Amino acid sequence: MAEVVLKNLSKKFGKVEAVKNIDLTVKDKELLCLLGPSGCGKTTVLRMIAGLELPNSGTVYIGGREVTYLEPKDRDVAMVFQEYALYPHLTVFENIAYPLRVRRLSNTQIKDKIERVAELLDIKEILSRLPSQLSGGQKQRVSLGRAIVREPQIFLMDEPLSSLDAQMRAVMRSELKRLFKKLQGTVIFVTHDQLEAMSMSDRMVVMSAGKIQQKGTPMDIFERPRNSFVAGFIGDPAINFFDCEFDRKLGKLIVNEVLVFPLSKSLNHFLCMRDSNLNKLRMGIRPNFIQVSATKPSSWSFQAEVYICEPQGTEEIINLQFKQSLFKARVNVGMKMTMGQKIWVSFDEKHLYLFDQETGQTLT
Amino acid sequence: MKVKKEVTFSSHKKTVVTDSYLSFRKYEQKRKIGLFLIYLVLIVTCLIAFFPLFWMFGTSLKSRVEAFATPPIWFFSPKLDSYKTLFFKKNAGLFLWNSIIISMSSSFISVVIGTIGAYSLTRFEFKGSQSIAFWILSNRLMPPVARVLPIFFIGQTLGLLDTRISLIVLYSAMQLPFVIWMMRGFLQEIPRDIEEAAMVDGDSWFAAARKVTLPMAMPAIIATAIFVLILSWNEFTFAFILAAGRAKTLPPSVLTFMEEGTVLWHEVGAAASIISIPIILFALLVQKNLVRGLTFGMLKD
Repeated sequence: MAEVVLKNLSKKFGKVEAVKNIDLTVKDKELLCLLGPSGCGKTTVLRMIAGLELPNSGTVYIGGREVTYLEPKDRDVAMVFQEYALYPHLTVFENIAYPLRVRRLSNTQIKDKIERVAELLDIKEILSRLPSQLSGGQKQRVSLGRAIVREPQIFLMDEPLSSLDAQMRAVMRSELKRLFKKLQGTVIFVTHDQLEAMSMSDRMVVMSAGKIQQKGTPMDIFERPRNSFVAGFIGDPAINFFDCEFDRKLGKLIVNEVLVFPLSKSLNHFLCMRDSNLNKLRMGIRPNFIQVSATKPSSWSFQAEVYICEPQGTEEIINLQFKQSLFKARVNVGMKMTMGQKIWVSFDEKHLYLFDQETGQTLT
Repeated sequence: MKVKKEVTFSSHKKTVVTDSYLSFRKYEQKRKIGLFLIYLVLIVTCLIAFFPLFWMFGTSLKSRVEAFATPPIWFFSPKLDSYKTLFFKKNAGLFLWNSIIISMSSSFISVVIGTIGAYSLTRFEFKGSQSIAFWILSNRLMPPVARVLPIFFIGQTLGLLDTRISLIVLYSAMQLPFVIWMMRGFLQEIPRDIEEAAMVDGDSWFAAARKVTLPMAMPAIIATAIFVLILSWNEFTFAFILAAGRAKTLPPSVLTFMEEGTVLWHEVGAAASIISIPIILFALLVQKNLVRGLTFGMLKD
């Protein structure tokens, strides 16, 4: 297992800059996730680590060795593809044996290793089948087996769970994490599913438009997003945003010119100190920190109309409408709600995020 | 058959017009009649389509007198005289052998070179790959006949007239655009991530192509080879112009069976049969592979 270091990596496809100056260090035995929306460049970064794409500038180091322009076969990396990429004309056994045969291992060695891997992944019964005869979950395990059997320096995975159905996904999330912890592997995987990223990774890198937006542990990124993009991308249901104006004389935030949110003295002071020109802000509040009640609470609150309810079992997601804005609140099942009902909504300042409307940077 | 029925819904009754079969048996009967009619039409169409072939083959088994008779004779005792004349007196054996050698060689060469070319067009991104691909296709658009005269002069200058080699080289070149275009289409359908998996597993791109892409493309390659074989086998114009004697293939040889201004129909029939029967048998043998190769691109694993 080894460390991966990316320095100043960039890649252009024609005129499109897919990856812009990426600096990243993946520690040994770490599970790192590259997270971001489609087209943000995360798969390109992964492929540059594998050697399937060559960067326009920058360097890639694997295990202390510079591999920037080496062919994939010389890099000692194993890759699990999104659609598994199993060899359709070979049996499962031969599929897993492929990398070993290329390295001219003896038949007995190959058999040994495959037996161990098959035991680990519970695929002993399907060793003689062809890929076309396997289910999605089995294909994924064979693909994993092919990667694991090589005992490579690093594992790369391209959207490993996106080809599975929802139930399998939930199962594999935990199974994969446990597997790689047992193997003590350095893993870099790419996904657009933030739930997958949060649950499976030791550290996450959120990317957008070719640039790294934030690096950190999942909890770090969830609780302290660096900008409104990261805040909006992580968390399900997504964070609620309200554009507002900062009135420094009154010390209040004004939303939609109607709603007035009073700021505590310390927060007001902090904002004034930050920037004397601060005017347009964006409020962010996560759905689980919004409180609703049928009667007007003693603290600050406002009235909003129930747009629709989404029951989730023990919890409920209430879609609320205030003037032109729609936002969501997550509450425990309790109150009976009907569409169009007016209820009182409130939230606490300590759960509030404030972002600069133009740059998106977090202020609090 | 449309029928008015009274139907009871949960809250009210209503009269609707609907299809009804008085019984399941009548429905079955209708279906069987329909099927029978379809088969009848198909069989009649096949008979009409194949009739010329049957007649041609039949004519080849007649004697000279029988072949020229008007009104045409339907019932006769088959004789192999015309075949004997062709093979023993008119050298048909040589022509058949030439056809076989030339078709198979040019098919092999053009498929090998064409597949490699198609692979590079689809897998390697280089400037102008699209233009080159289109230029290759455009070569096929021009009628080959327009090139007969220049080709003849080239052949004459090089002293290659009437040799098998010249026809093999020519046919290979002629079929190359077709092969490249077909294989390009098929290779584009093969997902790249399997080759990439092989490359990450330790193969160079060439080894990955050989071990992974080639087996997957095999049905397509065979289908293309069969097409090219048939095209070469039937090629007339250039064979006629370039090979007058020793290297003559079957299609032009049919012309030699005109004697003293009359066409010897029984011998023409025999010649045509010699040309068509091997290829029909061959196609029947390989039709499974052919269909598999042609529909390969439409299936996703």
